[in-house]
Amino acid sequence: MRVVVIGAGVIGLSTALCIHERYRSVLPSLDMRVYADRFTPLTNTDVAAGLCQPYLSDPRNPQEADWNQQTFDYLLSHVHSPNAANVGLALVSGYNLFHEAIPDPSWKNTVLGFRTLTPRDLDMFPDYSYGWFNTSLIVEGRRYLQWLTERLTERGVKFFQKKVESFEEVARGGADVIINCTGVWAGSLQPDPLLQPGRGQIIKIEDASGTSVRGASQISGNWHLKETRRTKKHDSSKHSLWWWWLLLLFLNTAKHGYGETRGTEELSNMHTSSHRSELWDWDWNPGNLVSEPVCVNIIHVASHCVDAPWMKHFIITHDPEKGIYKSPYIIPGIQAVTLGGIFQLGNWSEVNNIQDHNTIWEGCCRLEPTLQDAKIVAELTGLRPVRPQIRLEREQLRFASSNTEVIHNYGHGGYGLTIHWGCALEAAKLFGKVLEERKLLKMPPPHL
Amino acid sequence: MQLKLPGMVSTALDQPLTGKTSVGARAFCGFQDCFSRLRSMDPVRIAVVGAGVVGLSTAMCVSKLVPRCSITVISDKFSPDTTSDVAAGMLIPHVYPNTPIPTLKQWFRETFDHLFAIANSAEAKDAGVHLVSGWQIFRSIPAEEVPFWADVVLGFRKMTKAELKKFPQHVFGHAFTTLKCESPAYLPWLEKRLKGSGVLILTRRIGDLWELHPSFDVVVNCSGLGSRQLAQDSEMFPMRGQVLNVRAPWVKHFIRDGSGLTYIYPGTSNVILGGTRQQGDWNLSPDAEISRGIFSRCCALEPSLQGACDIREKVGLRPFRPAGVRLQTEFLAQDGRRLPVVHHYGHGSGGISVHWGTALEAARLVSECVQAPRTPTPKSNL
Repeated sequence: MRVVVIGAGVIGLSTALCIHERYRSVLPSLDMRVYADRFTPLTNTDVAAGLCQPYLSDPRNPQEADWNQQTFDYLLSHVHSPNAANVGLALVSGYNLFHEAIPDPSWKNTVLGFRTLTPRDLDMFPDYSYGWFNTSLIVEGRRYLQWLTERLTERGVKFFQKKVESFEEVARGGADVIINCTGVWAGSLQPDPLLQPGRGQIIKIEDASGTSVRGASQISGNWHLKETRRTKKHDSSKHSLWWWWLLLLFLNTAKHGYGETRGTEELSNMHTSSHRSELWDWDWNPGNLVSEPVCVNIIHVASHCVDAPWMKHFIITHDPEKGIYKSPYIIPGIQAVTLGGIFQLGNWSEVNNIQDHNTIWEGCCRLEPTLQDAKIVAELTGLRPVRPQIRLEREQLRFASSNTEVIHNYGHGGYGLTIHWGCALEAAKLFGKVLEERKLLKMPPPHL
Repeated sequence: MQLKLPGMVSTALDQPLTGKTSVGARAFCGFQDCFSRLRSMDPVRIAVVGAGVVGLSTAMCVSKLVPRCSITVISDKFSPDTTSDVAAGMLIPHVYPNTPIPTLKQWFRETFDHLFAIANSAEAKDAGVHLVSGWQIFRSIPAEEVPFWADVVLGFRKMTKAELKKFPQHVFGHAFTTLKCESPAYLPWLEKRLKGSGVLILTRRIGDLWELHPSFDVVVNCSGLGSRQLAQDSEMFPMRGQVLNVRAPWVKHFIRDGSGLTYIYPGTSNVILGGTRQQGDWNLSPDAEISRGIFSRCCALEPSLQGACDIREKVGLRPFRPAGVRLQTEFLAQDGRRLPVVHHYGHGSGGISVHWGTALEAARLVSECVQAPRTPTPKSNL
């Protein structure tokens, strides 16, 4: 039984792992592969701040609330393990701020220690008059994807860097089941008018010392990252080389510049080969001295290394008139603090924009004056796969004389990390049904 | 830089200066009665002995409260070599047996408010002050479920059952947000401000407070454990504390066992794991067995610490005084000489938590001393 997972963001890799963990033992013939044109650190998951927090309003599909809860419980059970930091997990507390009182969210009992803010708490935020405090989790996208990749590799799952043009191509290649985790680009495989990009831009303020970077696992094709570990004391000669390299990159890609947005693009023009080749040509040369993959995205902006490690709390502001993610937010991660506040529906541009940069920087510095001392280490753009509700369902496609099962799992908007494991469990259930129907299971399916 | 002024009486202060100094102490000619000087319009010369958190904050408070004075901070140790530098600087107060709770609460509140204002300003990063949330956990329900300082910190409440699941050995806990004041940044920040307001900083080891006579009119003794010698206070003894500084940037919360012996305090660039309380132990060298014990106890509370790196051991000798903080004016007298001394030492484990409140009190004592020098009765504020 060949299963192909298309997409290597958090949805693709977690769904792959969930299915493999549950069915490999009862289905020895399970041969699983991951096809993706982008792997960490180039996925949207890598751009996400990683705070587990659903939207404020209840989801259209009530199942999503259960999936959020399942994900939180699952991650919480792992955050207490010795390996938590390697997985990218940490507990983090913080503030949600509003201009006026609003009802408590439905997830108030999912997170820990939820309470409303006292007047003294609010003294810290003069622009806001109401808020919540609670403890939640961060799942740092890049580390989590690296960890998932390692788990999958251990299990013998193979990764292929390729751009899939159609389900048919994958089916004719021998896939019995396709798990479609293509996120915001799902429309290129099957038109979906409900799916739109919710463009986000973020500024990362990162700790320059002790950053550990792991390479991606074996990938067939021409892509390989070295495993490197940056120690606290930088080799100053390597450091200056890094700067020259960065300067060269910046000069060479200056034609992108600031303020250049491509706006909505035809789906067929997405990720034109010229755009991609610039990424690939420069950065995945095995001889490259640079140890920090996030530098790849710094082709858009010159950067400096500093941090804001005194920030121990997340601060998320809300402006109901503007909508979700359009108000400043500050989210500390394991090695970086993410500043954000951009959400542009329908904007396919993956280029950093100077006005958005200013919006984020001014908004966040107003919220937290100490940020003025922090310098930027990366600026990234990601496209949230926005949809009125997640598409998580089976579909049977017929190519030539055989049926191919497709399990769709995309459209997680800005809450993919928050909900990913619940969705993976659901996708695994659907997979189990496929196996039952095809009478492939020798034993009853394992309890999910 | 050595400064010799004409007519300078030879005192111990004329020894060659070391390390970080700006200017030497001012000269004072002859055997003029120091009290007539205090009555005169000349600025009062105040020496603050000690440059830990207590010394520097006291110098700051005196400079704001006492008009027309010139202040010199004199110490053999400055940051990062003071006892304060080893402390994590978490604002959670300790109880002093002879200090009434309302006084302790006032000291804590004054310190909290002072640091809270800094934490919310653009100075926060330079001053090394930031907010941190976390939990204080107990293996059995404490006699006092709500401590006296609960309404000074932010958002104090009891932990929920869900939160306690993280600590299977513990049955009760407090959750709150407090401040962390990191001396390696805070002390240099205070020093910079002191220099900016004309306070002189001198590196010198004082063996006897009389060395400061007659160059100074009032001495403020903030020498911590050094008071055992300088104030001949045989009650003072070290309460040795060993800690580990580690890199574990994913730890965003403090965790403190109610006994105070085991704690995890995340800071700006490291996490401090502790600790020990070893009475009367003067040994400043880290003990490897103790380090292993600390690490193991902290990993039991926070298993992810097993991934910590860059582990460094540190030792500090807390300036412990059984009777609590000594805030008292003493008029030293010897061979016809008189020297007013305001004692401000003995903070034990709780120095950083109450430093600003006690410094304000010490500054009041100095102010009284300056205004009414003939009052013979020593003032006692124990």
